[in-house]
Amino acid sequence: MRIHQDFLMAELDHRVKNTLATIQALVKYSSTGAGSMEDLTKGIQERVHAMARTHGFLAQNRWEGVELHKVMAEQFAPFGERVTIAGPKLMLRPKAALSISLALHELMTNAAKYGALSMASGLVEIAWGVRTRNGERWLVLSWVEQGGPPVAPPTRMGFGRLLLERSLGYDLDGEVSLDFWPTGLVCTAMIPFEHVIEHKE
Amino acid sequence: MEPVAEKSDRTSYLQGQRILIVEDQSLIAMELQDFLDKAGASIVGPVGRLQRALSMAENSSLDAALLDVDLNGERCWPVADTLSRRGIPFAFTTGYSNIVMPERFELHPSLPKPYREKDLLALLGKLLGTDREESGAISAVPEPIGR
Repeated sequence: MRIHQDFLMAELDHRVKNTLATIQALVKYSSTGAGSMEDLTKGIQERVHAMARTHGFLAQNRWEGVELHKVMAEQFAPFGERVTIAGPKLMLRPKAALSISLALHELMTNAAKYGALSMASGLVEIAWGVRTRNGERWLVLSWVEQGGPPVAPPTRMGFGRLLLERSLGYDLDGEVSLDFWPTGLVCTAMIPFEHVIEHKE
Repeated sequence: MEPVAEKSDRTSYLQGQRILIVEDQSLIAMELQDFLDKAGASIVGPVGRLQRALSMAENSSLDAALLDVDLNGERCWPVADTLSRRGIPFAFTTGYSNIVMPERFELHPSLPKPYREKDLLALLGKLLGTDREESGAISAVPEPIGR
């Protein structure tokens, strides 16, 4: 019992320190591109909130994983029917849940500022599925915006985009592509299936 | 408030030094990369997976390395062994406060996360053997527990 407790304490310690280190970096980089101190503060708050919400879901599930649908549902609830979410029932492992929710947060923030969610007519379709490529399975996640203002590729790399690409690409060893179609931003991510817990039903 | 050190004096020893960064969290790796970039080091990596880290430790030309102990649930010890064999100085970085190191690494320096820029640079100075004036910034060798 004592040994088990020591193990849990050590894991908790490790997790907290890594989270603190992540936030230290998040604070540092959130200042790039923030127009004012107010923007900066709000940006940090929203990112920390997105992380905290996923931590909450993970805690409810004894840190085993979170339903992908659940990661999104609450996050996009404020947009009502303008954001549709569709895909098979899948459970994400903790690291993937945290990275994907942060990536979605960045997409949502961008859409609300410049993209489809900045206009009442705009829509976002989020969908996912499983694909096999070269004998390996991947979780494919797509984000398609339409009905927003005309889109042009950005001229510089903002921190939000970097965070999106790194959290899926580096942290999860996935692939991310961003396409700036005139009709709206399209983001496609391929996540190695090792980050998914399959349902035993 | 601590005095701001002269950056050029503090970090000239890092100019052009090839430092391998092994770290599995992108944001932490980015920050680490920035600290080292600013100090003029030449970065190898960053890399967050054990197998890739091993191959970089084996095949890259390196002056020093920073190793995150936990790499997506795997321990970095094989990377440390490779660096030891090649005689490349390295330090561990970790979020564990009381980690039990394998005996062969017990005397190795380690830097607890989250770290400050100055502690990181001081640690690298020690690793590279060029900054002996600096003291107290490197964490003591962790006390082994439960042995």
